[in-house]
Amino acid sequence: MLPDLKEIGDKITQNDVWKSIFRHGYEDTPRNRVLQILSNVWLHIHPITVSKGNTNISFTWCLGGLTFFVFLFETLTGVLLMFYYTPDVNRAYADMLDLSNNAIPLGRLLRNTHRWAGHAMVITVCFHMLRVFLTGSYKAPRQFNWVVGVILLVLTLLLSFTGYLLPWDQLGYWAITVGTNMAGATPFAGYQGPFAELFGFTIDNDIRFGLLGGTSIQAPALLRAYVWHCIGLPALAGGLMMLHFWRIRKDGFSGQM
Amino acid sequence: MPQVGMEAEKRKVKETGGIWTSRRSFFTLAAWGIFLATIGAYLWNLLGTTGFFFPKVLYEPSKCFAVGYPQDFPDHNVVTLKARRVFVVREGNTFQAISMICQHLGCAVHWTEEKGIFECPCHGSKYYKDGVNFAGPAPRPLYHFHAYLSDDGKLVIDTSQIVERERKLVI
Repeated sequence: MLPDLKEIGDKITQNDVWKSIFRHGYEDTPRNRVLQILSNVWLHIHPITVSKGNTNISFTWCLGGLTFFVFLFETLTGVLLMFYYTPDVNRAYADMLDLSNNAIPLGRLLRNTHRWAGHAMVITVCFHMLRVFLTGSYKAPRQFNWVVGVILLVLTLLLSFTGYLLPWDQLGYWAITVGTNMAGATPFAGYQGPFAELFGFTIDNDIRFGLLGGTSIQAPALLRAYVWHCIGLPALAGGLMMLHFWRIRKDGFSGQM
Repeated sequence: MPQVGMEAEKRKVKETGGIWTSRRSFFTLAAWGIFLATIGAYLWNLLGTTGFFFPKVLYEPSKCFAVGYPQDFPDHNVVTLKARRVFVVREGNTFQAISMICQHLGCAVHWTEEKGIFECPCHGSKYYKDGVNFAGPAPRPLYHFHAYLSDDGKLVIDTSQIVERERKLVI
């Protein structure tokens, strides 16, 4: 005699403990569908229903969403990499080699996908920006959201820049040398830029010094790059993304989907 | 009535081209001003050039270092001290300490023996043996550092002191 599945199912689901976790059942009624989405913390930001036209992806090619997805991928792989990387000048390069050379299972895959996805995010964000421009989705009332998007673009590039130093290899060291020297040559900010005398900038109090935490790239620069890359910039980017997505929900899609 | 008096005063001040503000709004403005100034001071403390992001003590390699005895350096030669980012140029018994840091964007230049010039691999800046830039994007010549003999006869270079190109150490 087969066990009465319905009876077992009811025993599991018709009690207080289960109901305190799973509030609504799977009844396929419009009301229940709404309840399921709205009462779920991960899903409640989404619209409950999507109009048929919105399933046409060729308006946006989901580029913004792709960028966000790659950002989430980077966050996940980044956190996993943090288990095996120390931002210390005597350890960083060796840690990176360990990850790449089988000392850690899946380490090579993890490091390489983190690197590739970083490049991919820059590419998708550029294509997204191009699409927004070509569809005129920056026009009123969406001008501010465009500005937020540009700031997000800058943050994406800064994430790439700070991450590039972390392996502490020749590529990263000299790339950041050149980049921070450009900062040092910026007008009104750098000690080698125009108007530096106006502010009394010297090698140890201009914006380059603030970025490096020193007059040249040493241990403080590596540590700062690490903190900006793992905490500062993702927090800023995340906050601005929240604003960016909120504006899109409020203003609606800009074209026929 | 106080309201009537205020209106008359307001008119009188405005007639003579002045700005009139009530006592209440003046103090409100002043209080907001002081508040914002205080917030500004705290923010400067945090983000300004004497703030949190600008450490006062640096643990960097010493800018003044000995590089060996003068006889260690062959005559008519340019010795590359990679870790110190400096060249020691010897001609007979004159010595010069030239910076390895390109004046364009900070890459380390190479001494090319065959051509007798310094060349930067990053963006193609080129300098003569005395450090003068003649090609590429470098805006000025390489720095020359103060070089002197220490008490025990060693050649010492002080990279915190930049000297004119013409200055040479004569032993």
